Amino acid sequence: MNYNVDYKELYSNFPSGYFCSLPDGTIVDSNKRFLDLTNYTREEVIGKKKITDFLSLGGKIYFENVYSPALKLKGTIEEINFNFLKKEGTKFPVLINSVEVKDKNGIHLFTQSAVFNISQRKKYEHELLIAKRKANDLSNELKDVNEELLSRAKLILEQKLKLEEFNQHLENKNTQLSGFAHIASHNLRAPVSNLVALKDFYKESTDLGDKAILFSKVEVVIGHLNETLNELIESVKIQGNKDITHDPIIFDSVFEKTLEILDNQILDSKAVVTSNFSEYSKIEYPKLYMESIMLNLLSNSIRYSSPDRIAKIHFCTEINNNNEVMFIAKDNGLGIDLQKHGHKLFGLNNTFHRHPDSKGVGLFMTKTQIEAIGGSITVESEVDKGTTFKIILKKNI
Amino acid sequence: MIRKRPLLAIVDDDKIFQFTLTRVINYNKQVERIINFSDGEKAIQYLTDNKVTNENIPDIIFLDSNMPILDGWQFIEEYKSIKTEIKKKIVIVMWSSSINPIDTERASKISEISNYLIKPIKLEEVKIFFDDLETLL
Repeated sequence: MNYNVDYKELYSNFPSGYFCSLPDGTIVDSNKRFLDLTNYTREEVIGKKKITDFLSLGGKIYFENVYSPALKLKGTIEEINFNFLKKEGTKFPVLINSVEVKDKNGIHLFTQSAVFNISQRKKYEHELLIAKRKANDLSNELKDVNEELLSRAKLILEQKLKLEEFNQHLENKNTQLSGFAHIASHNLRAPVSNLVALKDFYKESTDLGDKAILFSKVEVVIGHLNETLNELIESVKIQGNKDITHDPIIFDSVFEKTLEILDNQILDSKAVVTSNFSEYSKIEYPKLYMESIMLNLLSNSIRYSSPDRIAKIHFCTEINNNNEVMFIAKDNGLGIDLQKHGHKLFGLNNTFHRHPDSKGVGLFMTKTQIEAIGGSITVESEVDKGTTFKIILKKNI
Repeated sequence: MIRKRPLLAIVDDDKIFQFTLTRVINYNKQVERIINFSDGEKAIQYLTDNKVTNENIPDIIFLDSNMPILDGWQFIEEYKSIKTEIKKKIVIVMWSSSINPIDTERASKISEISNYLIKPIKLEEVKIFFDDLETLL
C-alpha cells in the first residue's frame, strides 16, 4: 500500500509542539502546534526567541542549573516539567523532551525539543490533590468522631458499672428488707400473739393460782420479746452505721483476745484451735465487728463440735482471685445440712441443732456486720464432716 | 354417730403457744390426748416409728410453720414421702404467726395442709375447726 504522506503537513500539525534551537538556545524552527500553544506568530519567534524567553524566573534558573547540564551530559533529556509563558503572559504547564543533534565530529549543531501541553493532566492532578486533601480532612473528622464515640462508650460503660453497683446495693437492701419482713412475721408477731392469748386467759380466769401461772408465762414472753427487740435494734444500728470508724487491725491480736475470752470453753471441749494470718496480717476494719465475728465463729465451732472426734478449728486469711481479703473459719464439727437449712442459716433465732446454748443470734449478727462493711459471707458444710465459713471482708484492696 | 375423740399432735417449738393451745383444747375436752413435739424432725421420727401402730398415729397435727431443725414446710416435704405407709387419715393444720400473703398462698397450694390458721389462737376458730372435723376425717 502506498500512502501519499505529506511530511511537512504532518510535522506542522503534529499533536505536540516541536522546535529546533541552536546551542545558545535561539529557536531556528518550530511547527505550527508550538506557535498555537504560545500564541506567537512564526515571525515573532524564529531567529528571535530563545527557549528561556518562554520561561518564568524560576523556570530559567532550573533550565540553567539542571536542564542544560543534564542535556549536555547525556545528549538527551525527557519529561522535564516547565510552566511556559504565552505571548499574553499567562502560563500553562508542559513536559519537554529534548535531544542534541551533533555532526560527525561530535559538534553540537541543534537541539530538537518536543513540548507536550499537560494542562488537562495538571488540572486533573490538582483535582486529585484536592480530593485527597478532602479525604484526609474527612478521615481526620472521622477519627475525631470515632474518638468521641469511644469516650462516650467509655462513659456509658462507667455508668453501666455504677448502675450495676447500685443495683447490687438495692438487691442487698431488698434482701435485708425481706429478712426484716420474716423477722416481723415470726420473731415479733409470735411472742405478741402469745401475749394476746395469755391476756385473754388471764381475763377469763377466776382462780388466783391460775392467774399467777398465766402471769409467769407472760413474763417469759416479755423476756423473749425484749431480747428479740434488742437484737433487732442492734442490727438496725449496724446497718445504719455507714460511717463507722475502721481501725487498724492485726488479725493475730484479735485472735489472741478471742482465745482468752473463750478460754474455758476451749479447755472444756479440748478443741485444737489454730490460726495462720501470714498471707494477710493487717486490715482496716471496725475493731468491734472483727472481735464479734471471730468470737461468734469460734464459739459456734466449739459449740457444734462433734462428740466423736477431737475438735479442730482453724482461722486464716487469704487473698482470692478478685484481690479481695478473705477470712476463713474451718472446723471438723457436726456440720449443717445446707440443702435443708441453707436458707435459714443466717436468719434471726434460727437454730439447727438441739443444743441448750443454741440461740441463733450469732450468725445473723455476724452477717449483718459483714454486709454493713460491704463484704459477704458464704458457707460450705457437710453433715458430720465440718463447716467452713468464707468471709470476704473487703473488696478491691 | 359417737366417734372416739381424736388424737392430737402439736408440733411447735414455742412452749407458750403449746401451753395456750393445750389449755384451749383441754378446756373444751375436744381431744383424747395431746402429743407434743418441739420441732418437725421429732414429729417425723415419731410418725416413722409408729407408722404400723394406728392407735399411736394422731388424727390431727397442729403444725407450726417456723421451727428450728425441720420447719413446718420441711415437715410437709418429709411427710409426703412417708404418708403412703401410714394407714390413717391425718388432718394437718398449719399454724403461723405470719400474715404475709406469700405464706398463705404457699400453704393453699399444698394439698396436705387442710387449714392455715394465724396466731394468736382465736377460741372461735378452734371451736369451728373441731365442729367441722367430722367432715375432714
